[in-house]
Formats: sequence, structure tokens, C-alpha cells
Amino acid sequence: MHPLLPYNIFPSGDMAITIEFGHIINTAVNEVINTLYHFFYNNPFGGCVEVVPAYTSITIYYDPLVLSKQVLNNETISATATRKIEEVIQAAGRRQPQPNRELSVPVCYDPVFAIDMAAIAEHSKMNMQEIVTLHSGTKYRVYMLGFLPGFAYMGEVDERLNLPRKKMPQKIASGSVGITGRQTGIYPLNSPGGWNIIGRTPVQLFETSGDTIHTFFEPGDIVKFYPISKNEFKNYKGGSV
Amino acid sequence: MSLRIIKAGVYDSLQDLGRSGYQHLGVSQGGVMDCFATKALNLLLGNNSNDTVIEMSFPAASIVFDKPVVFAVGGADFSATINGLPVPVMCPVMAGEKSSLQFCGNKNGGWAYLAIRGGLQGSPWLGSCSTNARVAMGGWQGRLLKKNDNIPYASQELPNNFPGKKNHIILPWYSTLWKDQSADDEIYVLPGREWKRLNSFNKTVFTEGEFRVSPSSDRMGYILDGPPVDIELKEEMISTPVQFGTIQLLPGGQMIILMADRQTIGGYPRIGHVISAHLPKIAQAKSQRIRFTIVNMETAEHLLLAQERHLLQLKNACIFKWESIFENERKPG
Repeated sequence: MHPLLPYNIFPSGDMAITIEFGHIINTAVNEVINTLYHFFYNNPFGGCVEVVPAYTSITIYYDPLVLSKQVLNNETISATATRKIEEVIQAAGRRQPQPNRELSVPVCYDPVFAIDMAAIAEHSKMNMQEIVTLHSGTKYRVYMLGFLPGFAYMGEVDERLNLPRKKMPQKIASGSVGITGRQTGIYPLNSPGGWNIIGRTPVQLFETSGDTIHTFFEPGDIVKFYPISKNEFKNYKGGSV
Repeated sequence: MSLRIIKAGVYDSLQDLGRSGYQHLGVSQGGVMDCFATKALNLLLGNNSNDTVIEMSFPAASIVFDKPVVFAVGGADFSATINGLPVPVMCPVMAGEKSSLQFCGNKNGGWAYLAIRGGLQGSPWLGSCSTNARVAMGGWQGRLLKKNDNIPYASQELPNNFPGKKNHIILPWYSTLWKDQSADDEIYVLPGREWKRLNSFNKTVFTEGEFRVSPSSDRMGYILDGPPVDIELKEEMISTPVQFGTIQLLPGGQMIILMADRQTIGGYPRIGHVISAHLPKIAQAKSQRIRFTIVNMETAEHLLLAQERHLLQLKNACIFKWESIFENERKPG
């Protein structure tokens, strides 16, 4: 089978190779990445350490010592890794995209939690009700996880809510829902952060013990937020990972 | 058996070589800043190279061992003393119970390591004992070491001539430093994805300029003070996975080298990647002046393999040393 979409493949240092599918974030590209990610995950080549999918790229980390034993004709280990990765891409071919899960996530937009609501209102020239309707009325795709365990980069936020990142990062509480650019995301932990906080979810975004970790979101999920009151937030029970 | 932190250092944590396989969920790799020193110290003691060590910056902790211990210190040289007498770096030491280890001055380097024969016993998280202070998992209760922490280590077979209480013996083998042809302040770099997007003037600023690792740098990243590097990008950068050693260009023209506790994903232009064999060197260059030389993949891989060969030789030599210590004792008469 032929490769899925045109791509560039290049080294990211001497222990990683990146496959990049252009410079435009969209569902089609991200679906290819998600599908390819799962194929790599299930069919790793010897020396493959880990595979990390992103918006429009996948990075494959490899162990140069393992791969040094499979070098052909004086090629570099990096070239060996590239060859192995291209073999996997060819074997993956065109595949059916992974099925998407649809998730509903409760968010309390009360200004007690939405610490940047006033700034968002000023920037968007909308009132709070309009902002809530807009943010919770859109279906988002989880493009990737990163930054903190279970932090999902979701898009696309309505253009009218397109705010730049804050100049100075501030302390942000666990569960805070932020927006920046056309992205929205939820802080899974208390953390410094620069996104504009529009609400908070009572959902726990990851659970971990000594040797396991489960995240609430996975790349490819389709997410819709629904508004809840402060009381509903307080009494929220379900919805752990 | 355990060691006790008598006085806390400024940034001391349990670390190993880091956790892999979870970056796709947003879990950082973590691990020691200087993997060469860590591996060498562990191998000197007959440990696995991934055994858990204490990583320290200066001022470092003061430590007392409640029971007999075999340890080694190295990486940065913090002028270690055991029971008040100096200890060389990269050299195994046997010390009797109640021995006290202190670090008296920062001779060189940014991160010093204490390795214990048998390894330290922290709480593993996702296959690694590295401390992830943000998630508060791994290492020692997911946090930096504090006064009165008691960190256990495995009890082990001790030679008959083991020193008594508050005494010690420096063992007669050590690890040499690994050197390549680069100058002391010279860091080798592979071009990154956006390297080609620098014009020739800015490439020259990068390769000819002198940079200083800012003292405000930490385990997440080393900020570089020096002449600004400019890039003109028409398109907006899209966040991608980033690596230990990735050199990112911040909007003001300042550069940051991503280190062990970096986030999994980054969105700034990637000027270059410090070659893996020079990650220990850049890690130890905290507050120092450095300059960059662009090298090719062949050089990067050649040096990485040479470094691994050096460690393999050390490992084999040390296994032999430890075996002969115990064999001599078992000989009758």
C-alpha cells in the first residue's frame, strides 16, 4: 500500500526521528497520526523505545545501541532507524481511522473558578452567557496529550474566543479549563500555566499508582462540555478515569 | 539499613536514568542530568547502571549512614568529606557505621551524585525511581529530600576488613573522565528542524557567539545568556515532541536547552540538538561559558558509541575487582 499522506522524515537529535505531515492542524492529518501511532504501538521494531504523537507529527525515540547492530553499508544509526520507521509506515499503509469516543465533560463556568472570565469578556466583547454558550456549544477533538499527565490539547475553539496566552504564567488549580489561540485544555494538576481560565471541571483527568496510569482523554476523542452549577460541581460523583 | 539526611541541600532528589514509554500521556522522562557520571558511579560499585542515586546541586545535603556502606560520589566535584577527611570523586569508598558525609565546596560542575552499592530504595513510579516533583510521584515520596529523611539501601555482603565505626577505606580503583577532542567549553550540536531557517548571519552568531548558562537554569531547561539569535518564520510553529538537549529559540532571541525534566511537547523553533554524548557536559556547565559547534550525525554517533564502550570496559573491570575482593577472603588459610 502507498503511504497515507505526504510526509517529511528527519532526525530530532541522535536518538529520535520525527515524521511530519505538513503544517496544517486538521482532523484528517491528526487521524492519520493517531492511526499510525497505534500501528507503531502494536508493531514496534527492535530498538524502538517510545512513540509520541502530536498535532501534525509523530516522534519515535530509539535506542542507538540496539540499532547499531542492524546498521547496513556504513549508514548511520539514524539512517537505520529511518529505514525501519519507513518500513512500518509502508506496512501500516492506508488504514481505517481509529474509532472516536465521544465524551461529555461537565464544566462549572462560575467566576469563582473562571478566574479570567472578565478578561475573556473584555477581549471577545461578549457577556458571560454568550461565552459559555460558545465554549460549550462546540465539539472539540483531542489532538494530543502532553505538558502534564493527561493534559489534552483540544481544538478548535471558536475564533471569537481566540485569546493570546497570558504574558506571565500564574498558579492554576487542578481541573481548570483554559483557552489560548484556537485551543482549549484542562489542567490535570495544580500547576503554573499561561492559558486563560474559563471554568473548572470536577472530573479527575488521570489516575495513577506505582506501575499504572490511566488518562481520562485519549488522542482522537471528541469532547463536548456541558455547563454545571457550583452546587453540581460540589456534589459531582462520577466521571473518574 | 538507611542513610539519614542531617541537613537538607538546595535541590537534592532521588533519580535514575528516567522513565520511558509514557510521554504520549504527558509524563516527562525525567532522570538524572548527567547520565554518564551516574552510570560510571553505579558500575564502580558493581551496581546496575540504572540503580537509584541521589542527585545534588550545591549546597548539598549532609548525610549520616547508620550502618556500614560502600558508596561513591562524582559528577560535579563538591569537595566531599567522609568523617571529616576528603574523598576523591569517582572512587568507591567503604565506610563504617555512623560515618558522616559532607560536601564542603563547589570545585566544579553543577550536579553531584551519590551512589550506594546495592542502590537506594525509593518508590518507583511507572518503572523508574526518578522524582517527578510536579506530579509528586517517584523518587522519595515524590519530592526533594528533606532533613530527617531516612533513605533505605539494601544490606549486602561486606569484606572482612570492613572499617569500624566512623572509619573508612578508599578502594584502590576509580573511573577516569571520558574525553573527546572537543575543547572544555565546546558543545557539539546537530542541526534542528529550523536550523535551515536561520540566515547566515544568525548561524554565525550561533556558532561563533559565546553563551553563558544562566544561573536561573534548572532541571527543566538551561537558559542561555548571550547575543540574540533571530529567526524569521512565516508560518506559526506547531507544537511537537521535544528531546533532552533540544535547543529552542524563544521569541526574544534567547535560547533554552531542554533538560531532563523538560515537558514532553514544545512549540518554539528547534535550532539544534546537543549530541547525546555531550549532554553530561552541558548538564555540568551550569553558570559556565559555552560555545557551539555544529557536527554531523556520524560524529554524534561515533562519540556516543565510544562513551558506551568506555562504560562497558569500566563495568567489566569493576566486576572483576569486586569478585577478587571476595575471592581472596574465601581462600583457606
